[in-house]
Amino acid sequence: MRRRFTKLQKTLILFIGFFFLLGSLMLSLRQNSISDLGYSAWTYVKYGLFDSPAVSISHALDDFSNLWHSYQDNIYLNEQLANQRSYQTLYAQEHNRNLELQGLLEMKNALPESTQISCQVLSRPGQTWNQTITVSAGSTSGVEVGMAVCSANGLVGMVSSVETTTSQVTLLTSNDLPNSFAVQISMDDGSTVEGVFHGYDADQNRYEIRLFDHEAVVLPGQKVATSGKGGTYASGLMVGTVTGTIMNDDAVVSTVYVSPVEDISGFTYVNIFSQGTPAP
Amino acid sequence: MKKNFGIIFGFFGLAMLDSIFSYLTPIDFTYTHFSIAWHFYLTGLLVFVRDKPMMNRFLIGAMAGIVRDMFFTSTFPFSFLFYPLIALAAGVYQNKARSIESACMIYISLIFCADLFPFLFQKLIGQTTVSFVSWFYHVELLTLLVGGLVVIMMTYIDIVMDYFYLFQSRVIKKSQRGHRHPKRELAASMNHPQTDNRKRRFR
Repeated sequence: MRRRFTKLQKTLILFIGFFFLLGSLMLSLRQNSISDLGYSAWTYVKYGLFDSPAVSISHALDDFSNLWHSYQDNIYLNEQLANQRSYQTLYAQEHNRNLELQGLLEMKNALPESTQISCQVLSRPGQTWNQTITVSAGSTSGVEVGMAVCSANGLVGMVSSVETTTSQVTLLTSNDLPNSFAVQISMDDGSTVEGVFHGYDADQNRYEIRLFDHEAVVLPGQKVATSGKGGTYASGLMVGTVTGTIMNDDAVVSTVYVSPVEDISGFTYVNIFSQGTPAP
Repeated sequence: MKKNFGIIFGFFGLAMLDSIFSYLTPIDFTYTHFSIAWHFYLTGLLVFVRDKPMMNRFLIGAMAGIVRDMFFTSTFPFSFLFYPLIALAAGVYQNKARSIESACMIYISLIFCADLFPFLFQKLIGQTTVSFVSWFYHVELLTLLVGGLVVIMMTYIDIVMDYFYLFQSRVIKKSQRGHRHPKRELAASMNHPQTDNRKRRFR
């Protein structure tokens, strides 16, 4: 008897029948073929070889990109923060300068008869912080040795040497003043008590003022200003505030301790008073 | 058995190539750019079944179609119904084609038919409204050009594989003949008259 199908044909028919039934079943059940179920060979391979690595790489790149952006943002924010700090510092500095200039302007307006030279502190070395400063006005501006130098709060020193465009100022806290000067304390009853600037006590951070009137009752908190007598300085320049008094043994003069003006340790602008200053 | 596995893996590789290239260069269904429909699998089928008997061609085409439908595309039962016809046609025309060039032209024509039929079907049911000229210009032209190269490549591979298996079968036959030869020599020597004389002489 002649065979109708070969072995290969039978095998093919078997597989075709099986897949046809399977495909028809899936098509009827799901209205789709099994390759749409997500389990086809290509789906596996595509997911394994392309999708998954591509997605992983994409995620890695995204993560790196986000990290990089965060890093850049962090740098930017740090810069902004640093600038903010700088701005705050600059603002405080400018605010202080503004207050100083405002104080100096008020002083200038308060003493309209005086001749004042406005200038800036150029240097104040750390080694001689309480000794000398250099200001930006010299002989060309009319500065002369012995002129009074005031900050916004009051007298801080006197000119000890003059260059063409700069001058060196010896501070009241240095004990090396080129000459002494007369001061006065205004009393409540309208009288004044005269005295003379004697020196500076660095340990106690106070001036010593010698009063000629030992009977005067000087109380802490009273203001001490230049008297203008003796022709050294203009009168009315604030020297400091009384902090204490002692009576000397000879009972002729009494010593008054005066705290320096508030900004004696740090100021940027000064006025140099020329009126009342004796010619060198 | 090795040959069968080679054929199966070969078809699997061709289907994977189709899928990979289709994934990398998807068809632009807006028909604004050029696209390519890859036909490694179909070309391999045409080349493979060209010299097979008609029933084998039909069954192999059906098997190839249903496998493609089930595992690589979602077109069941389109390929299952269409591939046997293409496979049958490949064999019919192959009998008339005496040269490699004409065989390649037949394969390219069948590839064109394989693309044209779904397009006409889609036009018929109103699934697409694009004109034949636009479809041919944007999709089929490049497909046929690349398909021609694939056909040449497949034909060359088929020829090489035929020679390889022919050489392999000859080597196997020769080795089997070599194994059988000592027995035949021994048997012949046992019945040979001269050998008998020698045996007598030794006695």
